[in-house]
Formats: sequence, C-alpha cells, structure tokens
Amino acid sequence: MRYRYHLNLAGFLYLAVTLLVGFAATIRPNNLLVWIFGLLLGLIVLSGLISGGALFRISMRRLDPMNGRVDRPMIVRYAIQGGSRFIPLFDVRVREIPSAQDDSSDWTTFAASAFAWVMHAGPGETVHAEAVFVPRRRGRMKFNRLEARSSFPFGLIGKSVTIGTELETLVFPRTCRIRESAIESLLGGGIGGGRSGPGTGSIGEYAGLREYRPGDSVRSVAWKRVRPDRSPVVIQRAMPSPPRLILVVDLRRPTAQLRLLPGVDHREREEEAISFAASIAETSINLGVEVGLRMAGIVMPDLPMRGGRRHLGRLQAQLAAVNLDVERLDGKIAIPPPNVASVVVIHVDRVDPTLGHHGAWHLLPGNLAEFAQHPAELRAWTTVSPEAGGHDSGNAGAAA
Amino acid sequence: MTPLSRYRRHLRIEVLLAVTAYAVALQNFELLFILGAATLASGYVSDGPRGRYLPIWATTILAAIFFGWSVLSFMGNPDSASAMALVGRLGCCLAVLRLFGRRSAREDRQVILLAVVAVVGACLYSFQFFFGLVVVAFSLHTVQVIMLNRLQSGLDDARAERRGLIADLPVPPVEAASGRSPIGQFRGLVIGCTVVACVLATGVFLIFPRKIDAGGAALGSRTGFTAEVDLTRNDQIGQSNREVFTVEWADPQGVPIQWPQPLRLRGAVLDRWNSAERRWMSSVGRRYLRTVTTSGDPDVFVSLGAAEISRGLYTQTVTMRSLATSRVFARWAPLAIACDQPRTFTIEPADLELEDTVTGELDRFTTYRLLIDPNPSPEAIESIAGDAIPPVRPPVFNVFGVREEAERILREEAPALLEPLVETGDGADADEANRWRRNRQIAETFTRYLRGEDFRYTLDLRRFVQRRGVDPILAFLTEYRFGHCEYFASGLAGLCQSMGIECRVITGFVAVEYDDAIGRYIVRESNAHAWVEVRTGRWSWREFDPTSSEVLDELQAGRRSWADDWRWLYDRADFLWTSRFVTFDGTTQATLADRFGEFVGSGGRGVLEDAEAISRKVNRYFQLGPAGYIWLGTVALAMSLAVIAVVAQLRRRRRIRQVLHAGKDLPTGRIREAAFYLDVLDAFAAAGCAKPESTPPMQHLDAVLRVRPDVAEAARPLVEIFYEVRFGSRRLDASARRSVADSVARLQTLAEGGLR
Repeated sequence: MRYRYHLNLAGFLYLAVTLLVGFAATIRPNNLLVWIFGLLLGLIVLSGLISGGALFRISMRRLDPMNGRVDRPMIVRYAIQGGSRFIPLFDVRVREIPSAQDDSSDWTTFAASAFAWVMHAGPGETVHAEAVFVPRRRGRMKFNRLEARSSFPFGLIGKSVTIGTELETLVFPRTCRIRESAIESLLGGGIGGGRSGPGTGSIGEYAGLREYRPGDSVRSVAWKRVRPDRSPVVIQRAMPSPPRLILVVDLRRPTAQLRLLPGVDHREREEEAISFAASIAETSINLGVEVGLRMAGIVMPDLPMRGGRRHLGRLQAQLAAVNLDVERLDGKIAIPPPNVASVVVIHVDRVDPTLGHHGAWHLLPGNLAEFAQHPAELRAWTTVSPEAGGHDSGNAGAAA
Repeated sequence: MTPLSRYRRHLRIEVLLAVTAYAVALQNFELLFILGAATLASGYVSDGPRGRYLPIWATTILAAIFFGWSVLSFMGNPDSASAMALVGRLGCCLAVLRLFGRRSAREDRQVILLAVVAVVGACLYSFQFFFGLVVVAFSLHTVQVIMLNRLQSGLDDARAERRGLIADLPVPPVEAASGRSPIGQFRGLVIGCTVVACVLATGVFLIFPRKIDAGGAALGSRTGFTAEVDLTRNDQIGQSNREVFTVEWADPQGVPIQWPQPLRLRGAVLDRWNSAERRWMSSVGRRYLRTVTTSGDPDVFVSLGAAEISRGLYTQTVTMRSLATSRVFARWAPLAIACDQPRTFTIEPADLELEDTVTGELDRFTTYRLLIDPNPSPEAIESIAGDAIPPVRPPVFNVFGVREEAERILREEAPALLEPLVETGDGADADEANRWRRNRQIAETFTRYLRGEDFRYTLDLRRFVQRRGVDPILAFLTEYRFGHCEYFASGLAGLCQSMGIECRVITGFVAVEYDDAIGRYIVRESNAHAWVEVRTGRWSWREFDPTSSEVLDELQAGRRSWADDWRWLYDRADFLWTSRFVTFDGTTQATLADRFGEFVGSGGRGVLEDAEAISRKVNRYFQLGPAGYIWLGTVALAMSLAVIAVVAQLRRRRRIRQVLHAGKDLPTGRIREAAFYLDVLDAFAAAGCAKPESTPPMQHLDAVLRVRPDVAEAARPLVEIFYEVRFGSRRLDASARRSVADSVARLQTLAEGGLR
C-alpha cells in the first residue's frame, strides 16, 4: 500500500488567499481578520488530517467483474472499507491505474474508463461502488493496480492510496444481430422442427420397435409384441433434436500474409471475422440452435455443439481468448458430416473450399452486411461498406 | 436522502450571510433588502421545480453593469479607504447574480469565493458585536458549505466521466455509494471540523503578534466616553444605548433619591487648549498624585485626603455593567471611596480625578461607592488638594478673535461686567470675593448665551468643515453655531479663558434617566457628556453646562425605544465582545502570557483560587450568605452527576441499537425492554465466552454449553425471552422486568464465578 499527498491548484489559491488575509491582518489592527486568518490556517491543518486519517488503512477489493464486450459498458465493482475507527470516508474516487510495466494486455490498451465514486462510508463500513469501462477491443484485459484518492473535506490537500491487486477478465468480441432468415439459410433444414434420434423412453413420438438391449427401461418394453424367439422388444420413440451448426474460423494464414487490398487493416479484418463468427453463434443459440466451434490455424480446444447461454458464454470466451499473435498452423480440423450439422466457415481474406465438407457455407467478413439485421449499425465497426459487401467477398454460398 | 439534498440551500444561506455581514458593516440595509430578497428568490427561480436560469449573455451583461457601477462609484469618490467596501459590494452582487445562472460545483466555488471576499472586505469597516456574530456564523457555515461543495464536485466529476464514455448501450448513471447514515456522520464531521477549526483559530488569534495598546485604535469609531476633547474630528457621534453603569444616589440618610438636576459624573479634566493640535489637554502635572487602597468591603470607605468626613454626605454607588475603563466617575466633590474589590486608586488632588491605574480596568462586576459633598467647603477641598492646587493665575488662551467675541457677548448681554472692578476698600478678601463673583456672573452670561436660540445642539457635524488657520472654537462661536456638547463646552471654556477666568472642560457622563423601580440612574453610552467647571473661589469650582437640561431630556427621550428593555442581554455580550475580542492587543497578550506562566508555575493552584473567587462573586451576587457555598457545591455536584448519567444513558442506548441492529423504526420502549440482553452479553464475555457478532444467540448458547454449562443454563431462559421481546410481540410488564433483572444479576454473578 502506498500513500501519497497531492497539492492541487485550489490548494495553492487557498494558500495565496490565506497569506493575503494574514498580511492584511498584520498591517491593519483588525482582530476579526486575525481570527479569520487563524481559521484559514486551521482548515489547512484539518484538511491534511482528515484526508489522511480517513484513507489510513483503507481496504479496497476489486470484485470479480463479469466479462465485458466490445463497445458495451462493463461494470467493475469495488468493495471499499474505511480503516479509521472515527473518521468516515467521503468523496473517495477509486480508479484503476495503468501497469508500471509495458503490458499489451493492460486495461489502458483496451478501454476508456470512468472512476468509481464513493460518497460515504462510515468507520469500518463496507460499501460497493461501480466503475464503468467501455472496451474497444476484445481479448484478455488485465487490471493491475487500484488507487483511492480523496481531497475531502476542503479540496486543499489530497491523498491517494495505491494497492496492487491483479485481475484478468475477458472482453468478448463485438456482435450484431443476424437475420433469422440468414440463419435458416445456413442451417438448410430450417430452425423449426428437429431430427429424430434413436432413443427409448416414454417421451417422444412412436418411431418403431427394436430388440431389447440391456439397459433399456422396463417401461419401454412392448409387452404385447414379442419376437419369434420370444425375446422382448422395446418401443423406440423420436425425441426432438435441435438443429446443429459448426462454426469454423479460418485463421491459418498469418496476419501479415493476408491477401487483402491495400489500405485494409489486416488485423481489423481478422477481428471482423471473429466478430462475424461471434454474431452467428449468438443469434443461433438464441434461436435454439446448437453451435460448436472450431479454430483453424490456432491451437485451441474444439467446442462441442451445445446450446444454452452458458455454452454461448464458452463460445464467446473462446473467441475472446483467440490470440492472433501466435504462430499459425495449417493443420486439419475435424468436421462432422453434413447429416450431423451444418458447417459455416468464416475466412478472413479468401475462401478456401477445402475447409469444411461439400455442403459447408464459406463466408467472408464482407458478407456480414447481408446477414446483419441492421446493416447501418455496421458502419461504425467494419472496414467493409455494407452496400458493396466488400471487394473481396467470396462465395456466400455452399461450395460446389 | 444524502448530505447533498440541501446543498443548494446551504449555498444560498452562505450568500445571505455574506450579504448580511456586508450590510451590517457598511450600514447599507437597502442592499440587504434587495440582495437578500434576490438570494431568497433564487431558491424558487433557479433551484425550484421549474429551474429557470439566466442565459449567459444576461449574466455577463449584468456582471459588467455591476463592475461598471463599482468603478464609477470609486471614481466619484476616489478614496482608498472605501475601495474595499466597493470590492465587497461587487462581490455580494456577483455572488447573488451567480445564483441565478446554471452552474456546477466549480461555479459554486466561485460563489463561495465571492462571498468570502465580501465578508473580508466588510471586516475592515466594523467591529460591532452583531457584525462579529454574523462573521463568525458565516465562517463556520463556510466550513460546511465547502465540504458539501467537495461532495457535489465528486458527483459532478463522476457524472462527467461517465458521459464521456460512448458505447452501443447507455452507460448506467452514477449511483452515490454510501453507508448507513451519511447525513448523521456528515453532520458529525462538520461539527468536529468546526470545533477544531475554532480552537485552532483561537490559538492563532491569541499568539498572533500585535502592537501594544492598539485596542483603542482598533475600534476606529467613537461612542461614549473619551478622556480627551479632540475638535479635529467632525464625524457623527454614535447613538449607542448600551448600558454602561448604574448609579444610586443616596441622601445622607442612605435613602436613594433622584437629584433635582442631572447628575454630572466627572471622568477626565482638561484645562488647556492646544490650538495647534485642536484639542483640550490637561496641564496639571503628576507630581502630587496620591494613591488610596480599598479593602474590598464596599461599606468601608477610605478617605481621599479630607481631614474630616462629615455625616451629611451623599453616597454615590456605581455598578459597572458594560464599560471597561480605569476611570472613576464621580460627581463633584468626592471625599471618600470604597470598592467591592481590593483596588488601588490614584487621585489627582488638584482636580479630584480618580483612576485605577494600578490594578486594572474596572469591569462588569465591580461596584464602587463614593461619599460626595455637592457643596464642599473650602477647607475640605484644601485638605484634599493641599499644595496640588496651583495658585490663582489667569489662564493662557491664545486664540485670536475669541476674546473679541466674548466682549461682544458681554456688551450685548451684560455690559456691566465689562467694567473694571472697583476696590471696595473692605480688604483683599472682599475684593477677591467680588472677583470670584464677577467671574461667576460672566460664566453664567456666557452659558445663557450659548443656550440661546442662536445655537443648535446636534451630533451630526458633517457640515462643520474644518479649515486650516481657523480655530474650531472660533468657528463654532462665530460661524457655524451648531455642534455637540464638546463644542459647547469648548466654546464656554474658550470664552471664559479668553476673559482670564480659570476654567476646565470636564468629560464624563450625565445621569438623566432615573428608574424608580430600582431607585437608580441608568447611564448609557449615549449619556457621555462634556461641560465646564469654572473656578469661583480659591478652593471652589462650579459646574456650568452650556447644554441645557431640556435638550438633554429631549435627547434622552428620543433615544428610548421598546428594545431598550431587552438590551441588558445584548449589552452583556456586546461588552464582552468589545473588551475581550476587539480590543485584544499586545498588552492583553502579554498579560495573558504572564497569567499562563503563573498558572503553569503555580501548578494549577491559581485555578483553585480563581474558582474560589468566582464562587465568592456568585455567592455575593445572589446574596446567598455563608451557606451559599454548600449550595453551590451541591448544585455543581448534582449537575456533574446528571451529565455523567445522561452521557452513560445515551451511550448505552446507542450500544443497544447497534447490538440489536435496531433502526429508528423500533420504538424506544421496546429497545428498553430488550436492553437486558446487553447485560447477558457482558456476562458471556465475563465468563470467557464472548459472543461473536455473526453468531445467533441460540447457536452461541450451544457453544457456551460446552465450556460453561452453568452459565448456559442460566442464560437460556433469558435468551428465549429476548427472542420473544425483540422479534415477537411480547411486552414485559414491571414484574416481568424485575424478574428478568434478577435473573440477569444471577447470571452475572455466576459468570464471574460467584455461584457454582
């Protein structure tokens, strides 16, 4: 914990006024001015004592923030407890401080921030305050040090307390809402309905009979039907199965070797591809689709096809954790057959039909404008204009 | 509610106090009405439900107008002494103007600064008690306003930072994070800061280096008695009705009576006119000064030198109220003195001036008594004065033109007095008597003349222009013919001295207002007066007052108002303010330092002596007698015990609420019924099983059972009752409370190991 005192402009002005009043009281016998001069001096002393006493042994703790998202407010909460037994805390500003080392994952490289303000905390009381960050890029955002500063009560002398407390959080990529019809197109069979899968049990529609296997429920045995060899048979029922989608993000080519038009930022284009994938994943999961994720070119675990908000969080975390600075690999990735799931491959610069099966969709970041529900929102964050669809947009359709 | 809920209101109060202070100091109450009303109106116009603000261009234009007004005022009367007054007025106007503009905490700081500038400027123009009160209130209120401004500034900065963030979704607004009781703790902090700041300010005030004896210069204005007559000042005499002392005038039988004429109480005697400095001075040397010491018994008189003190004397009893002076005010002629304190008085035998220059100023509680002979015999005066009275000789009065004027007056009024005296042939004594008689007649003629219609009594001398080369006495007699008592007395003395008649100007008080209810004269500051004493014999002086009694009565009646009945309280405070604060100078500092040194050196014995002296004074004031000390001690002890009991009760109640986590919604009665639980907790602590705050009582009992089963068993019914009272609806009647108290007592004894 590090303590520091600060003199600000108001303090200097106050000192100047105090000296003037003292000078006036000296040259002219005026006891009222003398008393006022004494009061001004007393306030200076009090200012240092109270601001120092209030922040003495202050306890600050950063509560684990929820993951952020690019261009969306991210709330970081702090628990502040006054350490003084008698002096309450007033007007305390809690702020994150940049890391002392040159760290590319420091929060300053990510976000603009607004400090957390504590109006009051009684002696020994714990209050929670919020700071707001608006990240500008995705990735792993690291917090390093925390500072509490106060110049209460008179704004003359300020004191700050700095503690080191590290925390890392993820900033999810920016997303936009995709048109439902576009998702339907990607899925081929539509979103509604589902596929029947083999299964027993009492839930689902009648789908036929099969021989009994050990482990089948006794309730599913069809007692009125018996096989010629008198072995029991069980009723097979069709259970709803949601549509499935595999997202593949093609990052095999290193950033510097991307084949893009001059003037196009390669890294930004890669980010747009990641955002495109995140947008499709978010909208699909919201529509009940099970989505899986494969990263081509970067060693990352594959995410199975699942649904639900937790899985969406895993998907977004995976996409947020993609480090585009690592070495790219050109290895093969496992792609399920078309009858299992639809495949959508998002390329960065050019379509490579060899990635994915024959029914896969190959998309480029420029196709986002066609897929977005509100294309006008894309102006702020894409390098490709929504009208043109991008100069180098590839086949927005299944490969032949 | 947060402390910021009333921030705007306190800011308006701050500006209102500054405007009031300025108006009181500069006696500019029109400004107070206008700016004060505007300040109050801003609460509705700008900070009210509709929140209308002046546009920036309007405030700019108005500010420019105010500034121009101040500049024009200064150019109209380019006096550096009034510059700060104009600065203060500008500060007031701009501060009020700012209240009508849209502003943030930063602009509010400008308002506070303008208010401070206005008050500091006003401090240069007044020392009145009410003004001081307003300044102190303003200063202490500023502490709170600045603290509120810091909070508002923090909120504004937090909001501004949030507004600076741009995101796809709205950024959540700032929520002021606060603890349980922000208002109460803020108030406590304000009070603490105010008290500490006051103490520090007082400390600096006491040790700040000052000039010696600057108290009189610090006052800067004149009201009441002055020991000099300075005719260079033609300012307006103040009309203060502050009660300075009371006088009981008793006849030789000791019965308080009202004297047929106004009682003229002598303070200073001045017999030489210094025409270069334009003031009356005392020419009497101090070689014959004599001292007398009183015993402290107001009934034991000490002679001032008279060989014999006859029985037929009047008794003048003066009780000081709000005048700190070393002078003794006595009617002519004092022969003996007594005082309720042991004091040493110095007497000038030549003119019977009495002063306490040894012990210190005669302050509030001092009462002194004098035996007065209104018509003293020459032998009595001779026995007091002895060789101090100079031989009879014509005074020197070198003001050209006054003698001519005197002769002109005598020619018109009493030409016979201009004729030279003819020796009667009956001896030197007879001739001398004739001379004294003529002097008296001349003095009476001049007095009659000055009381005539040609002369007007007034306190406003702003039209009396002092010119170089023209003596003010001559100007008064021949040109202006108006003025106050000092001019009338100077005129009479000048006329007499120009005719070779020995006389002297006396300054003091004239007691006119007699209160039948208490049998005393009430003497106020406005009763300060000047008259003349003319020598009418070798040992005789006679009073001549060119200000007629009717004029004095009219002035006295004109000054009375309904507020004078309540002035006794204000006068006390005003006196303390003037004597202890305004006139605090280097001499007082040195005295204080000496006393502090004595206190430290005596190891605090002085405190006991002072306490004894104070109790003696109070006892005498209330006339309690010897048993009064026992009564006082009993009262002091009872008050101390009461204070201790109240503090203990408040602390216990506070602790109860904290332990029970009870808010204000829980009635005090229920709190009181559940208070026995505190004693149960104390018993647990005594038994070595203190209950952690986070553990429920029943759960803790199980823990206690493992360590002290006897204590746990005794405490179990009490804890159950506590649950019923605190969280249930059970009420404990008197018998139940007694039973619980007995159980608690048993538990405590058990916990401390008394019972097994």
